[in-house]
Amino acid sequence: MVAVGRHLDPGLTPDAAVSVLKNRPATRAAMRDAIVKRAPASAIPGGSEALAGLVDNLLDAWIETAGAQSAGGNVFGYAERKSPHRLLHMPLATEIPNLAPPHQKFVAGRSTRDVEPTVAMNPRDPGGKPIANASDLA
Amino acid sequence: MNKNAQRLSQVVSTFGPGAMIDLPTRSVIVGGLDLWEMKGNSFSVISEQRITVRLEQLLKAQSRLDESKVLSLPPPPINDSRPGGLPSYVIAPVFPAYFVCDHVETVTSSGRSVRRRRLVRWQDLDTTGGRRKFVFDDGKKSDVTPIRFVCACDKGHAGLSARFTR
Repeated sequence: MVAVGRHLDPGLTPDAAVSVLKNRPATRAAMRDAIVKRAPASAIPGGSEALAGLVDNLLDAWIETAGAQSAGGNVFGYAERKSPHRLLHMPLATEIPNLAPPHQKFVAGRSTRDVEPTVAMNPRDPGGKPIANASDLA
Repeated sequence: MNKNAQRLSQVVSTFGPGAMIDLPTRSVIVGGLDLWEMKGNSFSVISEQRITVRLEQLLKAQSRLDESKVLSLPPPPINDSRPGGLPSYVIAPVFPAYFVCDHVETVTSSGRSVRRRRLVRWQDLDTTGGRRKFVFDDGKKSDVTPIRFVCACDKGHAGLSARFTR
């Protein structure tokens, strides 16, 4: 979700721009819509509205965390600074139990390999016709 | 995940159109845009103004895109495995179409015993088994391995190297 926001809005891209989200209602709506649009409605318990609600909760937690962490005068970033002055944490980071509950929601690994869509390859003969009797391609 | 599938980022980079790749059971060359089967709801366009504007600037500055053209970003046909959905895929013709038999023959030539592996073409392979084996005259079957020596002309047409086509 953070990557979507930083991608959609150049104003959110720099590391220190993590606190800007509260002033960007249009970006916030675009982030939610992008995520909801990508998920098949039939695969979501409660449908698209439930997913939109979950995304909104996360966005609220993002804004709350950024506000709380920068209120003391510290620079708060996405991931370049040390905890707790960063929004994102790796799944096994030892600092996570010490974070506030809204902040603890922002735990994610770096790889998107397992959630990336796939493209099926359909092997054909050299002329482009289907290969008959190919049990390995069934 | 379909065993003959590529991740989306692979198809738009190293393993895209024209790439020769090894699937689990076949060596193929990935088809170009004319071989992308966009059925059902698989056709979509990525709305990404920042990238399209940047690409248009770059390509027009290099005279590779007409000034009047506007780019769009259609992704490859994503494999939607929902029941009842129309299949979407990229056609990938088998390539290379020459193979070497895994079975080693021993023949006598000029009084000497010689071991050799037979070179066969796609059209020589066993049709009853989906062209994955070669059947010798005595009925023995052999698995085959695609020949890896390939070449391409300046226009990108791929073929076997001259050594194997003479």
